[in-house]
Amino acid sequence: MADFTVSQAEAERLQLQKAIWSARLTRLLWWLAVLAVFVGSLLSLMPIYWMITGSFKIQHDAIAYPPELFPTHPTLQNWEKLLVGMPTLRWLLNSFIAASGVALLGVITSTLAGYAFGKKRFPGQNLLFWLLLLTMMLPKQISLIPLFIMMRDLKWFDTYFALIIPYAAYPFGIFLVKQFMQGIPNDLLDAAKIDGASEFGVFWHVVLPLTKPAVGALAIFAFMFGWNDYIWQLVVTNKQTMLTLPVGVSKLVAGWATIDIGVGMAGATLAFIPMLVIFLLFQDYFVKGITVGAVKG
Amino acid sequence: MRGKWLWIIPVVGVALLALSLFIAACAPATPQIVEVTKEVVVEKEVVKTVVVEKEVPVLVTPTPEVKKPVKIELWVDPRFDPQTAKGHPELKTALDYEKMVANDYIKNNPHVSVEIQVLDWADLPKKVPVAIAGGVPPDILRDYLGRTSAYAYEGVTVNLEEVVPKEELADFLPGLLELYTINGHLHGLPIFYWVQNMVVNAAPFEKAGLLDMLSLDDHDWTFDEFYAAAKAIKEANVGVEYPLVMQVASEQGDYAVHAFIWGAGSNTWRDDCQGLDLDNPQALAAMEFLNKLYKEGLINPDVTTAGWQDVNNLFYAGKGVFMGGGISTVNVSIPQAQKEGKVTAPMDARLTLYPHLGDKPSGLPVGPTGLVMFQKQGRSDYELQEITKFLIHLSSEKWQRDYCISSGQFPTRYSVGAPLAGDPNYELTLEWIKKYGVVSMGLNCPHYYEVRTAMPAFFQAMFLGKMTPQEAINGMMKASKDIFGK
Amino acid sequence: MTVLAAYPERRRTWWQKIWDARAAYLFILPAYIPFIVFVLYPLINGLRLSFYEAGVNKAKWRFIGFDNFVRLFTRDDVFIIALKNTFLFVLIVVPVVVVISIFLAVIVFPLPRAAQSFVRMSFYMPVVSGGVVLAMVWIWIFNRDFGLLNYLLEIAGFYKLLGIPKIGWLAQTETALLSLAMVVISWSIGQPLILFLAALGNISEELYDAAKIDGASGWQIFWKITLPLLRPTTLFVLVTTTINVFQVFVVVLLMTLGGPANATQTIVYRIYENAFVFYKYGYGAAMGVVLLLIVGSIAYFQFKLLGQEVEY
Repeated sequence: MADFTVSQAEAERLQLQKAIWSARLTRLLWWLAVLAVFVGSLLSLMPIYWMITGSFKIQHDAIAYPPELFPTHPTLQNWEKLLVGMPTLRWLLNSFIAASGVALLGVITSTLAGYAFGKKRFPGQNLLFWLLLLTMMLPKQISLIPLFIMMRDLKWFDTYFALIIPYAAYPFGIFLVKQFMQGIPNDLLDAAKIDGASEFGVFWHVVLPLTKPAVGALAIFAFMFGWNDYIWQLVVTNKQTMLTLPVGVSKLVAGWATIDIGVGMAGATLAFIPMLVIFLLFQDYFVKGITVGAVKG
Repeated sequence: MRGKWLWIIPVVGVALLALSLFIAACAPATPQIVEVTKEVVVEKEVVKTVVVEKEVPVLVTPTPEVKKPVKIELWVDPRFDPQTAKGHPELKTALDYEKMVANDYIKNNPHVSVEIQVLDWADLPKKVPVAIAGGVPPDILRDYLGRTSAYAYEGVTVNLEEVVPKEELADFLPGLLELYTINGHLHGLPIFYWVQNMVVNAAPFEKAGLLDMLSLDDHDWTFDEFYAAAKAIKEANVGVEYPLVMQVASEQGDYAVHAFIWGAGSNTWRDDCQGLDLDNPQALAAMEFLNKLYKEGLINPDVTTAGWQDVNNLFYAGKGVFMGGGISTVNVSIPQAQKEGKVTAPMDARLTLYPHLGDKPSGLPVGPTGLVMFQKQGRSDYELQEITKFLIHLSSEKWQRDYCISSGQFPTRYSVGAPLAGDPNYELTLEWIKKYGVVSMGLNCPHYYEVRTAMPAFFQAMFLGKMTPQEAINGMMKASKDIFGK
Repeated sequence: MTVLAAYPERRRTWWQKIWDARAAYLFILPAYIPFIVFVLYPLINGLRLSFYEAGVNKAKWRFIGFDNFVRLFTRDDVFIIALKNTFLFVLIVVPVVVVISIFLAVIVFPLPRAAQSFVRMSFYMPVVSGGVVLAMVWIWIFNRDFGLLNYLLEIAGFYKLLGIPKIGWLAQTETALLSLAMVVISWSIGQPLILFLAALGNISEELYDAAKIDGASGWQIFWKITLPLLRPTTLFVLVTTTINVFQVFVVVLLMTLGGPANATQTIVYRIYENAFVFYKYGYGAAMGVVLLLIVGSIAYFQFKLLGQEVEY
């Protein structure tokens, strides 16, 4: 009898112990996972760190082994070469103009169309919307060549038109705005209409102010898209003075005229900084923009 | 709260867009603006980087005269290197040089104005075809035959036989004119050419007491002798790690690799230009030889990814001692690198020949550069004549001689003679050409660029042990046949 | 709207319906005109060009039927290699991206807000910086002799442990594609991570509480509750990542030029080279059509799966 009770108590104790250990193990694993996540974050930032510090390294240090984790002889000569020797500031301006133009046009056309798709019912609505979505999914390389030839026929090579106008329609933006619009209650619009507002008046005075967060996200995405659209910019810009920053900077490393790593890194850093600033300023819009389309709230 | 920021986006956007439209509307066509840009950029070009002297449009405006004005657009490669060229210390940029040549013409022909763009090597293969496809080619282009021949096959060039007087053409070396004749159509005027050899750094050999192994007396050596020298210098422990430095990552400068195929006695291209001609024991022997060199660590291990800059760096650092190059490498590039402090090992660079398998060295590869005139819609006969005159001026005896001296190139006109006479490397190269002749690189063959671009992958596969030399050859032959559709 | 709705529906023809909705059409017009001109028309034109032999000289263009396609599959070994590589690339990158981003989201979600936003920012940074910038940095990091990666591996004892010489990551056929995949993965996590975090935020606390009361362990909660609820988001991520990875190009152009030994050739790089280096527009367009068919059908099937889960 006594034996039995003892063993039962023992078993209970063991089970408890097991549970404690298992909880401890889970906890340990969890903390390890957290650690891994943060190491991962640092690794993800590493290329950016490497790029920025690299821009301050002279060639001799840039190809040193073991590599210098921090530039021991920081130099501004790469930046000087980049900014003084090349039309880099012009490239920066070009990129800015192109990206702003894409963002501006994208915002205008997408909010209008997104409103119609999200808040109105009209024949062919689904067909027209799916057509937009479909092109979002298809590789744009197929239309690259005809579009390129169209630019030729329009004589738009080396103009801002070529960098901006083809993106006047921004299907992702329409999609984004439409998703957001669906969250706005119809009553608000109807109320405005009863008050005698015109169609455009409803859009301008009622819908637009409510859509601000989506418009912000849209503007940022379109800007980012216009900034980083490498292949298109590569083929339609020709003149040295019409290159965009990513294209101009990529030429520092690709091709025959290889130059110092540091200069390339300075160029890359320069191409990165504007995007970084925008991201930090409008972080919340980025998050909003990404989630509004995909996650049903 | 952040929403309050939003008004900035449209405001800045509108401002920039307005600015962009303004610039876009003005920039492409109006010369005034172009000239302003030029002034700014030229000042900045004092800083030396390779990328700097790119396209800088200039307008050399003449004073008005009786003749109807003609505007000529001229695009050139950056062959003239202001830092290294001899003879014109006052010139700062490649553009300055071309301007000088153009102005020499304009002073007697004030009705002509010339807009010059200097394109860099990376831009030449991209921008020119885009401009042709865009219907806006330059009137005259100066570029390498390997590229201009493709334009000739596309039928977008002017047949110069129809516009340049026979007397002028009679002054050019007929062999070169033949290279420029495609489908019975003289698509360009050769104006100078380079000759490719091998450059050897003799300093480590001297240090190790192995100078004799280089056959520098007659430059006539076999694969075995080359192999022995390479092996000996590596084992001599004088800092040489990979005696032969080269690259097969891209097709750039592939003649430095193909030289072994020629040395073994094979062609690269068929005589009729209809594809590669590597299906023979000589080419196989060359590939096997290269493969052996690589497997034994006598070629730089990063041969499959290195760029030419990396190859040069290995050579400058004394890790490599054999490299492809020509007169300008020895006379110009290496001294320049020394000046910039990039050469970190004892350097005694000499010109020599690639080794061979048969009884004598192979012919030398020559790369001519020529002036091409593009067809343009709406060009009048009068304009055609005027452009032709200017084209002849650019290739004239006077400027060809000047150019050959400045850039270490060989002349294409009989009347120029030997502008670099007295330079030992020049004399040596001329002697070799007389003795051994030249080989065809296929520069004027159809699909040259496409076939050329397809080849490196097979060299890479061989070096990485994915293909035997025979398989690599088979692969190249198949690729060539596929491209030619046979 | 309300006034119009008073009319009996059946008496109105389609034409009247269109007229009634004229305001909506006007609203979509500013987007649809450029869409048709710059997106739809070139797309259709691209399909057309693939039946032509077309180079820089427009006067020489000629119709050749299916010859371009025949050539693609019979006499273009490199294209076949590129096709295989592209699929391999998708098969490597997509699962890794999905698994890593779910893992990150699940671990980070319970953490304090500051930590969460730091991790989110870190992984989104590569997205912000763009492909060109990253490719340039990674070339340097991958360098065999003086690259950071080999240095880190060396001090971690990787090479000693395996007893192998240093690897030129972009120089070996075995590692080149993987190295490029790693770069692409590094900039493909940011967006899914944000999506998964948002999706986790939408799962109600009560579900978790109920599970805990039932004595479910952390693992059980993850497998039985979290993962199934993340399914719509996962499918969305799957589709978008697949589409993006099929179009991988910049890393190839800037980092390997398709080498070594064609190990990193991809479809889009072939399109670029044929159209913009060899100036064979028609042939390049034919490759584009093949890519379109592949991506289109994969996206179609994924959407079939997705159809019930996510509403558009």
